[in-house]
Amino acid sequence: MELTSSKKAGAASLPDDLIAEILSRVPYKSLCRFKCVSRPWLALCSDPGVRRKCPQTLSGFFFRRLDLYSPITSSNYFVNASGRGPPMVDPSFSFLPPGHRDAIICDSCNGLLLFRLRLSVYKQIEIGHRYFVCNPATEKWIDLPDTEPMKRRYPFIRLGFDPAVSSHFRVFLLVHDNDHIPWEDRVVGLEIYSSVTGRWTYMPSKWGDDIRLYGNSISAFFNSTLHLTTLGSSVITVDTDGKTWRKILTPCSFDFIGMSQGCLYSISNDVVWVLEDYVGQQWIRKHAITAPELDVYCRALVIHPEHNLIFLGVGRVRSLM
Amino acid sequence: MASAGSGDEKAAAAAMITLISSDNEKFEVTEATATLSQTIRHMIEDGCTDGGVPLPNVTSKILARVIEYCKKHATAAAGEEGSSSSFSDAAFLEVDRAFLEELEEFDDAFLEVDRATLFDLILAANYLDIKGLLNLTCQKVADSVKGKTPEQIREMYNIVNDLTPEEEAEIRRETQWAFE
Repeated sequence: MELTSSKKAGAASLPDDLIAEILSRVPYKSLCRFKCVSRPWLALCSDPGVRRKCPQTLSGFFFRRLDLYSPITSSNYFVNASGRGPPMVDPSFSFLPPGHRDAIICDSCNGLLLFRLRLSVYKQIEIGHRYFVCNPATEKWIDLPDTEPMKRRYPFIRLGFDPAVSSHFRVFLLVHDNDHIPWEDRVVGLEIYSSVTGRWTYMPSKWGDDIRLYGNSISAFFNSTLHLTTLGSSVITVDTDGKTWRKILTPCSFDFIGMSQGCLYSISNDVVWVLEDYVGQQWIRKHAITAPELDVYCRALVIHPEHNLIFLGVGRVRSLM
Repeated sequence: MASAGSGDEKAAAAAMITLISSDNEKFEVTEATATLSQTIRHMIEDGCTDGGVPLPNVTSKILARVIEYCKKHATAAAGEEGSSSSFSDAAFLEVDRAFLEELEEFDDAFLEVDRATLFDLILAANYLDIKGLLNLTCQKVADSVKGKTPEQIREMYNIVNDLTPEEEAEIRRETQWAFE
């Protein structure tokens, strides 16, 4: 009997769509291995539908606990999204060279992490930043080459990665007209790093004038497109090739956006909005968040990509995945 | 709590459907059992089940197993509906948990079959559109292949490696981490 392509249909062989059903239930690591079983399996294991459904090795939150007495030794922690079991990854990143281990996670996207490394600190003045992208599941990392906008005091940098589409990633770095105050400087362009070429490419902004963002503006990456909240009532988007630039108007200024079940969600003043019609830019008011039993400051951290679930943070939370 | 006995009593009063296997064997089942299959549910809705439902893709051996699964899981569905109002929440949860455990044991035992039967069950679950059974059987196969090497997979399933050595080396280079 054969578990193979329908072309060789034996008495108990399965058609490709059912092999795909099985493969979408194996861990991602197995899926990558099975690519070299045969040509049909290579096609099945590379299928975006299968890759998207397959249980990802990582899902959880990274966080840092700041040691007030010794900030240098503050370390990373990881908690699984389920809240149970041992951490899926080693949060101390012991596989990184010593200098890299002090880096701070500044963005994450579908299992990849973007780290910022302060080059040197002299009398509290940061002289520069270095960035590297790391996959904690494979314990591999790539140092990003230096580029001018990294010299800003607060560089605005985001990661774009979708393993269902490609094993390559992009890094987006905004270019501003000035380096005064993060929310007053206007966005004039964008540099995109591609792991295919290993280089940064500059392109002038096509979002129009007067685009300003908070330094910690929330972003969402999906459909090969980066989505960013602005200080105005809009979400700006750009695709991985820098070809399509859009400005989606929003009913109010959003302080949180995220992707879930293929739609862009947003939260503002405890009201959840969803962009049901992406092309027509129709935002629908979904529901209001009430947390009466939580008499504390809480804010949305991240929205689950597949379920109706929003993780709320209480107090101050830094890095998450 | 719902048991096989109470399930059968309900069955006696319920409408019966006749399923006919590829080798012409007839199986009488309740509508509740049969409608776990979306394919049969649609046939019932369209009113084309008089004189029995022919299932030319399913042998009597496999159909008997599929019906066994559906009976158990239809009882589970009925048990949940029937008991939820008559128990306090805590008691209901307790019963619910015990029943789910029983169901899990049933599923585990149900999957103790040879590989050919398992594949036939997958084909039948897909054809009859029984989500739970398809999930159960596909997960069983997935669990048996995960962690295996490509060589082991080829051997297990008689797959001919039609990649050139260069292609295979290239894929291995790209996915090297998965082999470590």
